[in-house]
Amino acid sequence: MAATPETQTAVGVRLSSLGFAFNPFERLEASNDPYISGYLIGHDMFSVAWETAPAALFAPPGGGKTAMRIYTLRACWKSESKYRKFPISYDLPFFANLSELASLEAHQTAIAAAAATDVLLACAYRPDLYLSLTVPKRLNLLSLLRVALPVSLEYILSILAESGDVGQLSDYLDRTYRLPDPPPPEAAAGLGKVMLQDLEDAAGDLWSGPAQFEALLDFIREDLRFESTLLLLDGVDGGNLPPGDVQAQFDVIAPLLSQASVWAKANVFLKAFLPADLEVHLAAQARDFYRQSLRAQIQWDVPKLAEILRRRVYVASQGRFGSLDALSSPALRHVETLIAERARPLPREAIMLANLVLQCYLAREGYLEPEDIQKAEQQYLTRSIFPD
Amino acid sequence: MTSSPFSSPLAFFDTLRAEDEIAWLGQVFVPPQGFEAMRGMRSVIVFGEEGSGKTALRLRLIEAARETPGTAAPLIVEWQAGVQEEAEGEAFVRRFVEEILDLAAQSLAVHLVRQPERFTQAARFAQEGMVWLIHQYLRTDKELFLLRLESEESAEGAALLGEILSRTPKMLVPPHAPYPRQVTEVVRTLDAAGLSGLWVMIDGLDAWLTLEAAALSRSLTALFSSLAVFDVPGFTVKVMAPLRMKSLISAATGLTRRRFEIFELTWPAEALRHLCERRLALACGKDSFRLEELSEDAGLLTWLAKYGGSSPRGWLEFLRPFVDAYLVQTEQGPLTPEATADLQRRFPPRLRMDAALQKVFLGHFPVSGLSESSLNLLRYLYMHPDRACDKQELYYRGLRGLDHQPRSTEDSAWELPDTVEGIMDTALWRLRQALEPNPKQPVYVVSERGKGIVRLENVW
Repeated sequence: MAATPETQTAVGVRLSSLGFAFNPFERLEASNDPYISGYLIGHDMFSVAWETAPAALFAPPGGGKTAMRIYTLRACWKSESKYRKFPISYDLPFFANLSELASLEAHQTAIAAAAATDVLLACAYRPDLYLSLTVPKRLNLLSLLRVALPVSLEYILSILAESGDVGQLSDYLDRTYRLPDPPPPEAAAGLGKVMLQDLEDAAGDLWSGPAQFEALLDFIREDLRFESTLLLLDGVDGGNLPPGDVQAQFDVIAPLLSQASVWAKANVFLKAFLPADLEVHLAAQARDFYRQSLRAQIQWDVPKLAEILRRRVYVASQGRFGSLDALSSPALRHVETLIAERARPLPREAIMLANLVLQCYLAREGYLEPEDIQKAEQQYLTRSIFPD
Repeated sequence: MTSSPFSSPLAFFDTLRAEDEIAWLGQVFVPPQGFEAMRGMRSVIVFGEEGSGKTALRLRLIEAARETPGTAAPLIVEWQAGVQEEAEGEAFVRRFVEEILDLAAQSLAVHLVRQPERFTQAARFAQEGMVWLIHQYLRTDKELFLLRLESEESAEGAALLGEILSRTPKMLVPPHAPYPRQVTEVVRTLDAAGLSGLWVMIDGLDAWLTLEAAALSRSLTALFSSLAVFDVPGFTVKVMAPLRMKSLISAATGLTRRRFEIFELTWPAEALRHLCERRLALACGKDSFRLEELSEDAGLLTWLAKYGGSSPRGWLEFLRPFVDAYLVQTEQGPLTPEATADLQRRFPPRLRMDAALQKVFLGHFPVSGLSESSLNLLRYLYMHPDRACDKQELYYRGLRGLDHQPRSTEDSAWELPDTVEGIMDTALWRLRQALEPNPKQPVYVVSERGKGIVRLENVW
């Protein structure tokens, strides 16, 4: 088991002795979690994200927006349907300064950066996508990536060529982008070298920002042969806008909402994962989009939250056990359900309380007991800064 | 036996500022509840009263991160809020981010000077990343920076830094790229340099309490807006904040969005006792030291708990005279109950009132049960700390709240001096009953015998 900072602390050593490779509840934030792809679970509202139509999915902070965005991305790559969907993760703060996103053109430049990121990562995880292209198409793609990618393409390719680790590429470009069955290191390194070599022949700066966007969409449709593109919008409340300024958030995404129906005709579907507070603004100020798009609120009940917790236990214990019940005294059963019942009905809240339960348990010897849950619940309520 | 870095054991009770105790803090530090969780990779805000050990905690978190065996340490930069003009808006965000990235570049440079092999043995892309980071974000005068390191560090390391600074960096991320993108690149570069991400330790927010309320709120909003741009994997923020800011921070930050875990520094009496005993042991050069070895009087612990409150600094401050007396004894041994009581009289907890002059504290102990007239009297004495007041003045101005002292019967507020004398004797008796540990031997509301005047002593 690899040493990580958390497994080396006193608590970490204990976790390790119990069979955990890492603390299943350490990370609250999907976008920050290298293991997230392992413990995503489905949700009824996923169908809204999956349909070939513009859609808005609303949830409060910690309500699973990013997790569902990542789930949708992976579903695109896992799907065996002949109707292939190419996912573009448009996590706003990583592609533009939010205060500068006042126009569609600004968004198109930023989306081009997001599309370039996902096309490159797709090629890295599925080398055949690139290697099966004709040389002119490869050069066309590389010249596009060179101008659109938000970081130096040469640098990124040199990482791939030297390390052969597509996970490292994800770390640099989008940590949440982890596809199943990555290529072996030699294949990934080989791809990196081929791309670096091709790059020497690729043309220079041929496209403006909005033109990059159109060219990348064309490439996805014509050369990679995906029938549609899902534009997964996220991070609207994650940038440096004034905290709580929902109108400012709306103003940032308004150009996208206006354009959604035009894009839909070209099989590009906006999937907006939005803070719950934004819904009234959409209803009042983006009436056409609100009326014409699919909409859903991502809501969670106790069984679903308990499933999230169990899934994390399963992944962190590398399949050794599927519930904290395995650590519990006979008096305690259905631990995840007990935790989910006590937390606010949001994944982040349930994970936070579960972490406290685990910390209380790890602070002493013996089985996990009902007292650990009570103590954790007290701490959970004390530490909360929620007004309720 | 523990070795002492000081010639005088009392030095361990000297400033009681963690910044002055770095060399030996690890030997006396008692981890507060939640320490293990705080030292994790998650961003946290730790709220604490003044003197509750926020700075000591920050320093220990840094040491703990560096000491964790078998794993890479994060690069740690420290940002002190300090007294400054009001911070607001995008200008603050830009300035703050640039400061943090400058600090990160400086720290990385120092790291490479001390461990050149981190650079020379790194993959080529990792080297490019390090060169880029230092060139891109180092705001300090590079020549002076190099000169300083040349004088302080190894020649080999300084030569490497000179070589890095002479290179032309590749533009890995455009300078206008969004901050989260830049920070992601910085963190990944640090990983490649053998570091596990970047920690920013934020302390000194107490200084912002001098701002007026609206300005403070705007400053905190600006600070936490800035932190939002660092919301990337591998970037961790540990904020030490005064407890009084708790509601403001929760209102100002959108903390529901920014993913901090909240802690409050609280100290049970047993932990504070342990903390005192560890420091005593170090001061006396012993492996352990029980409070019973300091004084035979079991009441000392109660006295510390009452007046020291629940803060480490409170306990240590009140312990200091006893340690002093213990050390100067000609014959080693615990202080007698009489000597302990005498010290308690000679070094009583200081009296202070809050800013609104509504609450009274003896040390950290909140005094309750003061009548309105006692409070008026005390307030008047407290506001005139440098002089004694006669009973007439105390009566008219303190007790009755008049803006003048009547001098003759023509003044409608005038009363017979004997009446005033009687009322004041009763009022002072009541005040002492409520305030003084021993009303017969007052240490706060002290009369000058035969002069009819009263002064407040042992005031903060």
